[in-house]
Amino acid sequence: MNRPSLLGLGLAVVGTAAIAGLSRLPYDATPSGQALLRLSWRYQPDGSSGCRRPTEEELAELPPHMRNPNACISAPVPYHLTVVIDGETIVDERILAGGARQDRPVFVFREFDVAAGEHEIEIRFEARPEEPDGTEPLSLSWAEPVMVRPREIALIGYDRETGRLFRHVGGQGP
Amino acid sequence: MIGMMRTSALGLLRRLDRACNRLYGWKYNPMYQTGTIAVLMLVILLITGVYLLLFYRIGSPWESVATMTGQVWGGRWIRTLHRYASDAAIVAIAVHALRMFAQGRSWGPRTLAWVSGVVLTGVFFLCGWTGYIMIWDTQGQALAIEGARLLDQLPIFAEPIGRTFATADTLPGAFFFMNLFLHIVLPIGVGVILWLHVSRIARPALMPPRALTWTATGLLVAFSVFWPIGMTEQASATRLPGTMPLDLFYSFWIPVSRALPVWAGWVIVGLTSVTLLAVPAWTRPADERRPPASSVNERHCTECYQCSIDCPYEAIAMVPREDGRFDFVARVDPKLCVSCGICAGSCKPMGVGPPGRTGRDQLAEARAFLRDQRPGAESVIVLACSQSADWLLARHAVDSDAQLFTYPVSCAGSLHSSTVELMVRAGVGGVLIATCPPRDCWNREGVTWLDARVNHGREAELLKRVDRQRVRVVNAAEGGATGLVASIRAFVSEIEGRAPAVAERDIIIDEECEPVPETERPETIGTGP
Ligand code: SF4
Ligand code: SF4
Repeated sequence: MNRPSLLGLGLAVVGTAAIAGLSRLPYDATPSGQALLRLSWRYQPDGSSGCRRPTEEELAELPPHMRNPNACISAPVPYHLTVVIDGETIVDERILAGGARQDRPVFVFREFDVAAGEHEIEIRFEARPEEPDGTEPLSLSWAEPVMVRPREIALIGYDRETGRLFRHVGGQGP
Repeated sequence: MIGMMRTSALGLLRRLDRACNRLYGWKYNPMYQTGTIAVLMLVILLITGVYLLLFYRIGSPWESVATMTGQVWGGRWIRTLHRYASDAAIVAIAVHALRMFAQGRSWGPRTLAWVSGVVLTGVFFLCGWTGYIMIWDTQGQALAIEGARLLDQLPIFAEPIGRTFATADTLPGAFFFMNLFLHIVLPIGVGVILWLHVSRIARPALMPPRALTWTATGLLVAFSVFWPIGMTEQASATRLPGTMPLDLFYSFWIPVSRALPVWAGWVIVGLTSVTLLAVPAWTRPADERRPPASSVNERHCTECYQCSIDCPYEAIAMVPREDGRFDFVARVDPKLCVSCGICAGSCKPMGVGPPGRTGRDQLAEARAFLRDQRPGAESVIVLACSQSADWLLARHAVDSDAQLFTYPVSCAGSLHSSTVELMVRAGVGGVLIATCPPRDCWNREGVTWLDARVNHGREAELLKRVDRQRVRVVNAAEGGATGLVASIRAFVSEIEGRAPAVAERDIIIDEECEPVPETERPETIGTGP
């Protein structure tokens, strides 16, 4: 047989319907009653703090075109993030700043599934320099009861102006 | 293992081919047209995409798509058509790849086509990905976030990309500009890779037959009008998505990715890519089973160019010759030759073809067959293409008929017309050539050239001195065994109704085909009065 049959046309319709149907399969992306705690901030220490100028000897060791007497030399500072939800420590880890010499900003981006409802949340973010330079190392903390509705995202950020962690409300700043 | 996979894939395709041949006939069987259907979908995507672009706003992506979706007579069905065409393209590409794999058309000279096909699919997929992100609904956001999660695992970005979607409800316009830019640039990449994909084949077929083109387009348009897609909830940085419609063809991996650690996602992506890209190496037969490339016997070549025209893989070039017989001689590039044997059927003086399958080899084999089997004046020999007809006939026991002889040929397109001539002139009642359907020739153009040589005088044509009533060409498609057997029976009774065939003696076709060198030719040959 060399001609399409009516049944063939019917099946082509069914095939197209299948493609259209598979193009919109319902998917439950969030289990009912689930919410999210999201930590998202960028921290860069003040350019002048915690660094020193190179010594004459250090400059002499460098090729002439790289001798910058105003360069800021700092020892890499590891940071520490602790997240406690309802008394249980969820995260307790070291975070390094970006860049080969760890002299770039440090980014924190973490997400935790939580059940909708009220939670006691405690967040600590602190610098733990291995060679203390006499200045007070960074130490941020935020501890508040948080009420999250189903599918709500509780977003914790860092405000550079005030130098504090805060909870965004409706996508806005503190 | 690979062999078993290929056999199962071939079995599955044969069943689907059979069903579709029954439903649509081989001419319109979409299973034979998956490559061209994918290109048709690409054309639909380009046309509808240009329209949608006119209404898309980078500053308000979701709102502008919602406005389009509100246009009942324009945007809504055009946007839906854009979506359905992209989905249908994925289906067509998947079946096309499965077919090439099952038929062993994925290694050697076809490596470039396979690898470029895999890359093409990847780029096409990325293009769909950016298309969804353009809408910036919950599905688009899920695709963006999961993609960012994967990318953030790589030690190349100073700032986690995921943060882009995490801290503000309004994303910067630059993000949507970049996404739109990619959505426009990637199709250009698709076009370039498509060109590469078909670059090693002569006369690539890019569009399906007209009736199939219009039917497929019509069906998609009808569904777009009567079952349009709607708008999904707008993406939000402060709310998790709820129930969302997921496009299985582009977003199937989202539930998997969300359930797995990121490294597992990369392992799956890596393994899938490597497996697909390594198919040419895995499917290449062992050295001793690899069909040898064609070669030219330069002594016989008369510079007719026919093999270089007919070769479906552009593996033959005409190069200058130095022995003074002619100016040019055919030369096969073994790196491009897939050993289909089609050139063997093109060459009048039988000077080209894979070892053991040239016109001269075919004549020698046919002579041996006639001598051993002694088919009579009322017999019919079925020259059956081993990819289809031979396989079909083996299941239908037509050889229970004493007058009927089946004679398998590797590809009907490689059959030299002299073989048919020899059989007819030797006094066989009739010769029936059973080929694959033209759209399913494993060597692309074999059936087309065979028909042209037997029925339309294309070189190397079946000479006029051969009684045409004793020669028949039929297409034997999957599922068409009954029809094929019926055609054979009808031909047998037709032959029975004719005067008995007369056998000639001392038929010397190969010697007739010895070319006369230019230096030895009388001056009158080839000149006018
Ligand atoms: S078909 Fe034969 S004669 Fe013609 S160019 Fe090719 S090899 Fe030479
Ligand atoms: S066998 Fe002949 S026609 Fe086929 S690819 Fe090789 S050279 Fe071309």
